[in-house]
Amino acid sequence: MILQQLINGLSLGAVYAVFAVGFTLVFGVLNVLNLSQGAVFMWGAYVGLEMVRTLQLPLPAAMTVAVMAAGLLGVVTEWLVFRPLQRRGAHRWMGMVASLAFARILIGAAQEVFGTQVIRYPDATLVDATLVVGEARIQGLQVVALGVALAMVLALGLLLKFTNFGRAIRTVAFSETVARLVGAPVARVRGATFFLSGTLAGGAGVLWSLLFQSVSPFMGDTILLKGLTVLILGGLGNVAGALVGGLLLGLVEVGSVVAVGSGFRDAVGFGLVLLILLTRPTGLFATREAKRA
Amino acid sequence: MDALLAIRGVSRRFGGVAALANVSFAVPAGAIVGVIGPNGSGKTTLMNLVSGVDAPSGGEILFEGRPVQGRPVHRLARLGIARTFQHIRLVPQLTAAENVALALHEPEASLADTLLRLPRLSHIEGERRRQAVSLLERTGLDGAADRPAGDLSYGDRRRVEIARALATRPRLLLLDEPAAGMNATEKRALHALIAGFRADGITTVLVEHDMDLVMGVCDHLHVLNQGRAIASGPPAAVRHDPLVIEAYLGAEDA
Amino acid sequence: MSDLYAAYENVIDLCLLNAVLAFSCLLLLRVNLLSLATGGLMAIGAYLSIWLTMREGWPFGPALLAATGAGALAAAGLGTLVLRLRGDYFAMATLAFTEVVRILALNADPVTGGALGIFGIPKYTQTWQLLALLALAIYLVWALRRSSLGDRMRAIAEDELAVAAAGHDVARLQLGLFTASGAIAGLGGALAAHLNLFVAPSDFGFLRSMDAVIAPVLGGVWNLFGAVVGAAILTVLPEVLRFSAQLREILIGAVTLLAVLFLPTGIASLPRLLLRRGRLA
Repeated sequence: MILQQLINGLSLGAVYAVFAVGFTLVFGVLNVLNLSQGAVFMWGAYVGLEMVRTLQLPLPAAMTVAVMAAGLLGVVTEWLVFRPLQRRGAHRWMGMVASLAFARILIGAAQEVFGTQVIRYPDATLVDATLVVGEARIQGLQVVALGVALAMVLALGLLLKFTNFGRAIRTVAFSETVARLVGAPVARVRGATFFLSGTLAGGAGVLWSLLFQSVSPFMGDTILLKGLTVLILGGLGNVAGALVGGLLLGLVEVGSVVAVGSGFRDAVGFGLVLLILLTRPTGLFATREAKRA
Repeated sequence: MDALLAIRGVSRRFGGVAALANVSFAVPAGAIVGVIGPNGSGKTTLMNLVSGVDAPSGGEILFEGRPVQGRPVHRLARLGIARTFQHIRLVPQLTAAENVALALHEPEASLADTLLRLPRLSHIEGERRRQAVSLLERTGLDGAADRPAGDLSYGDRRRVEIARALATRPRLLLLDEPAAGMNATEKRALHALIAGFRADGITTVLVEHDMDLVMGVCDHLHVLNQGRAIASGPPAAVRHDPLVIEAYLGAEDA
Repeated sequence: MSDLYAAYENVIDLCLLNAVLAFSCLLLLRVNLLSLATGGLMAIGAYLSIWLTMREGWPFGPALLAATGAGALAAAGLGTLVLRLRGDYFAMATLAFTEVVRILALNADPVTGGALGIFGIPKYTQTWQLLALLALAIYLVWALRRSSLGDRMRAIAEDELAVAAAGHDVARLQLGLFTASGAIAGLGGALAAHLNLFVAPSDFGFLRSMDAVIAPVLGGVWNLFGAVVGAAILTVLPEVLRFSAQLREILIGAVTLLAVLFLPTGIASLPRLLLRRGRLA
């Protein structure tokens, strides 16, 4: 029973983590809150699904296409929404409103193209092996999702830590002024950060739609709220915090379903957030300080 | 010792970098104290710590004998610590007088006065304007009261900032590079203005690159280099201190 | 004229209500706060007023007052929690608040009727009440504009640190405005419930909050009539253009994005901009 909940919680949490890492990356590097991330997640799921359904691509290939497409959508977001605002030195809330408006366009477009009903991946594409350990039934899909999710986050971590481009990203995150002084390609870093963030959102979208067997134009709204929850849990802009926070949120949600039923599952995370805000306002793992003044 | 401000072993680290390391000094009431040093020596960090914009990683800041480190900016402003900023922070859409009036706390219209537009509102607003204009006059900006701050010259904007700091009726005034962008005439006027604070019972801490101004107006100097206090004393002595000369020359080379 | 009113009464009432809600968000945008709590605060006012009038037999007036107070109280509580932290937390926390209220409403069947909602709410809300409320909102914003408090708000929008250095507690002023905004939203929720005669938790979600924020942005945050113009566009546009629901979403999104990117002073400032350009030409 415990093992079953543990694997359910971890696979759910891993998807949250992938999404939230992309979310927090943009915040940490460029200091903007991109609220169209949920819509990119949703488009990633649809692109993956269409690759399998209409082009009959095998799942790994379909997922790769979906991840790349979502990455490009991330780049478009930066180019269309955030770059003009940044150039103008607009108020921070304008970026939030503009990205929400962009999300609305993306959601409307998905409804127009794919319809509003919930659809699912064809059965044949799925890994249907099930591992039975004691009383627990672990679906092969859960293991695959967990593995792919952790691999994506790990790949990002390695990229940030060990490549020159990763160093450039971290320099911009530290200070855009400093980055310009040392000659880091700030404009390219901005685009690349949105690309990476988009790929993570798209990957999370495909994994989510496989795990829960549902794809709909509105699936991004829920994950956006989860992403915000994890962002606060892990500390704004903290990539490692987002990974741990995502896994934690998944576990807590699954645990809460067992404890109090499914009606309040989505509220549990926010309860946690309120608790965090009261006790550790910079997040569970934060090193940054809250703004003063 | 009747030190108005005492800085005791104050440090500020950003990640692994120490912007300030174990800095101590005292500012006697009524003095004009200069803080100098090459770029990146920690002068602005020190201003931020004393004014509450930032909190020290270690050490104590005493104002009138009470520890004040880590208190919020607005609380310190009301206690009597006012400042100007190296990067000017005026509201460009508001006029010079309105910018100065932002920092006036007496008289202040109540919410009811404002929303119901009670007769005494125009009285209060008139008095506030009169005070703001007289502060602008004191900084030599009589004519500019009704011009949007965004339209003023660089030097004039610096003077509006000083007038705004004075509007909080400070006992300690922190000036962060007030002469930057001023021409020679403006600098002479600034010199006279700062020298005049002594008579008003305002203690001044001046961070400045313009050595003529610093040497001319300050009673006492503290020199920072790479986050450490390397020298202090009267201007004439500090000027010939070999450590100070080396710090500045070293910075020139880099 | 009265025929025209009869034909479009619904749209007019909705316009007025949305304009009032837009004002509650406009107040906050003016001090750099993006609130997505409107939906949640409206829900609190709506369910309280429905309970008081339908179960407890209260007259409409006192029920409205109670809804206003409840909205203010909820906003004050939430604001106390998050306003001392950095600004981005505020937008996120208000979004979470709206979502929590919606989930609670979905699960509190005895009070809210659950997902099915409540039918047959008595129609108490009158056009003149909405009109009076809107007039009051416009007056208050006008009165603020030429005052030192208004200058302080303008200064916060540009530079919070400068205002703090002038000795003002920025977070306290923001808390006061958020509380006022909560009062308006609570009242608006009650008026909405007794206008639409049917209420379900999905009426008070994320989209509701978003529309309330988009309206003043569209119309112009610093324009006295920005909230009204924005709300009118958002309410009338879908009625006039008989597009599919999807196309309307795309259109609203596009118009908002274009306004934020290319007309940051809002559509209500368009006449003045055009006039100035005409004079220059």
